[in-house]
Amino acid sequence: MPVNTFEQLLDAYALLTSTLDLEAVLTQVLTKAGTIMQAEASNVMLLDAEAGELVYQVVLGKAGQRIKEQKRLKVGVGIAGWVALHRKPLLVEDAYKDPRFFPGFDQKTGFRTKSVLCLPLFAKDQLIGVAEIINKKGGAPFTPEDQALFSRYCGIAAIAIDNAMLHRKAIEQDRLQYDMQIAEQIQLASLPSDIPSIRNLRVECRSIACRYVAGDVIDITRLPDGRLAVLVADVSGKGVPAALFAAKFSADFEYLAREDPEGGALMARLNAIVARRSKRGIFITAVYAVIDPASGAVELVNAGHLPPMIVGPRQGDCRAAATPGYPPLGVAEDMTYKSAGLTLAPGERIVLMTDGVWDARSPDGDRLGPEKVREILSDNPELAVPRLMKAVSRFTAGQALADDITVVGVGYGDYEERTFPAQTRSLAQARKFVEKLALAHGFDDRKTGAILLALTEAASNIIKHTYNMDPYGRIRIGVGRNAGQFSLHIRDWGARQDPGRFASRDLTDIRPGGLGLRYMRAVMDVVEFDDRLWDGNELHMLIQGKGSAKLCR
Amino acid sequence: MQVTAEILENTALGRAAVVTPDGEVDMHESPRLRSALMDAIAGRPAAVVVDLAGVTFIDSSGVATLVEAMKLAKAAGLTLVLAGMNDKVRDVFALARLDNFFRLAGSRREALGV
Repeated sequence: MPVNTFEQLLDAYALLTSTLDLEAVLTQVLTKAGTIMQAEASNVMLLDAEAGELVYQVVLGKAGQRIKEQKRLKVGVGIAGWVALHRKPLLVEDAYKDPRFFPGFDQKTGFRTKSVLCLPLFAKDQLIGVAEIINKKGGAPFTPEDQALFSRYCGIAAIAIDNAMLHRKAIEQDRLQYDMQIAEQIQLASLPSDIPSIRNLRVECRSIACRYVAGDVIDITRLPDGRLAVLVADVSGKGVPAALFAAKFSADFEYLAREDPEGGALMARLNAIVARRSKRGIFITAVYAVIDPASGAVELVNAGHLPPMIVGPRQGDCRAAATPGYPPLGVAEDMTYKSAGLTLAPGERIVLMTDGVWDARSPDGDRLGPEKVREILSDNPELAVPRLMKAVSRFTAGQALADDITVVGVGYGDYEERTFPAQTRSLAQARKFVEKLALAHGFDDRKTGAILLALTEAASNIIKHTYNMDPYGRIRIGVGRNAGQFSLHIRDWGARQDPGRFASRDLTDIRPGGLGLRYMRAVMDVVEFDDRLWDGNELHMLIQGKGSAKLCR
Repeated sequence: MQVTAEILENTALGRAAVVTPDGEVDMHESPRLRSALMDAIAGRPAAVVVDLAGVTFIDSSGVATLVEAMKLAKAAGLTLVLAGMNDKVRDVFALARLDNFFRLAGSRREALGV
């Protein structure tokens, strides 16, 4: 290769890879081709594989604009179409003598095509388009030497075009991802965050979407008669279609439950609506429970959903709620559903979940499965829900979830909660609230003092570190007293905290600060940080001892 | 929480500043205790006695305030004594194994020798 040509190719490489803008790359490809190859006109067409057509991108030369107006050319038609079809270069010395030449453009543009050199553009062995130069300046036809040079040039040009196309695709994907993130935020905002505080019921709710938006539905409402109504439902399928169907279903549920919250009738009405609306066999499994905080009585109806689990009060206690199984909603229009009754004992908790929990997969492809779920739930009934979520996260080890996951737990027993502004002045009020309950549980003054220390440290950390002293934050303190166990659940709605950052300090290092966690761990039997909520954090602290199973009513 | 401070001449410790917090010492209240202690140390007495008899609750921010005061006092060459803590307050120091770091006295009277 002459030194001069080699330098021109090096120049071309530098120029073509200097931008990722597709339009700019294509224009430069042609401008440079015209200069190097001494051509009167040149054009680049990119392949639209789906349509089987070449699409004119940029055309340079006298007839440029008018050729570009043609926009598209069928693969197989004309010289460029032949090159795209056969994926071979083509050198035509006199176009009008070649039967493959399509004179339609010349007729429309008044341009007179003589010699044509057309090459396929390949990126990673895939045809991405063709490049064509027309009429060598000076009137002589293109030669095999010209073809060899243009072929090298096209190799460089194809890489630059492919990079620019990938970049454009990445930008489009980013935009789509951004839209999905907004959709995710909208869906998260519609999840129940301010769960009603009902004495004797501790309600916990967790949900994770496998693909930004979920087809799981949760509704937690306090009924006018003081009972708590909980719905957990799972729309078949995943992603956006399931999420859209779920959003409509959720609105229908809210409306109908307000009219008549009785489970059997409610499910029958929802079933009729879903059956009418369902397209492509979409259906919904749902479980609906109405829980009485005064007696622990639960009315339960199950439409094709996983049976709820009843865990507690002691470690190891775990059973499936025995209810008649009805078909999922939307399978047939005329279905009847009936609620079944059961009663929770103090310290028991009913856990409703979607099958995404059972179907969570480890990196090796193992399924979490019902047995493992049962084992986790029963390990510590008071911490059943947070521990289940933590276990799922550990099990999947960062792998994408196979399905959306939703878990709602409702614990029945002696439980009270209060919400305080996240301000240092609230600390004394929070202590007063917990002190009364700790003394009533039977702890002596000194033990109660230690519990108040753990509480104060936890709440102070939230005020200082989670809310950064923002006085508009909130802290909810839940106190459970069951079966000889006293539990504190301290919830915030601040930025999600990374428990890995928490460190209790070395006691040989005598200096102010860093003692809080040390105190919490020294005083309480269990201190567990829960970062699996979608809208904040919760700290669970348990201490054994004292207390009766009597309920405050 | 209330904090009072007084200067006593001619105690067993010499000229002593007595700082008396009363009530609960938590993150909301400890800045007030801190400034009373800083003032007391800045007055260069021979000793600072913190009378904790009226303290019903103390948390790590209160403990940290006292640790800081202790370090400053040591650096200034004066004695700092914590006096009269009840069992609950003593527990908080013991849990952090700080009960040996401080000079403790059963009461203000014991600390001052008056």
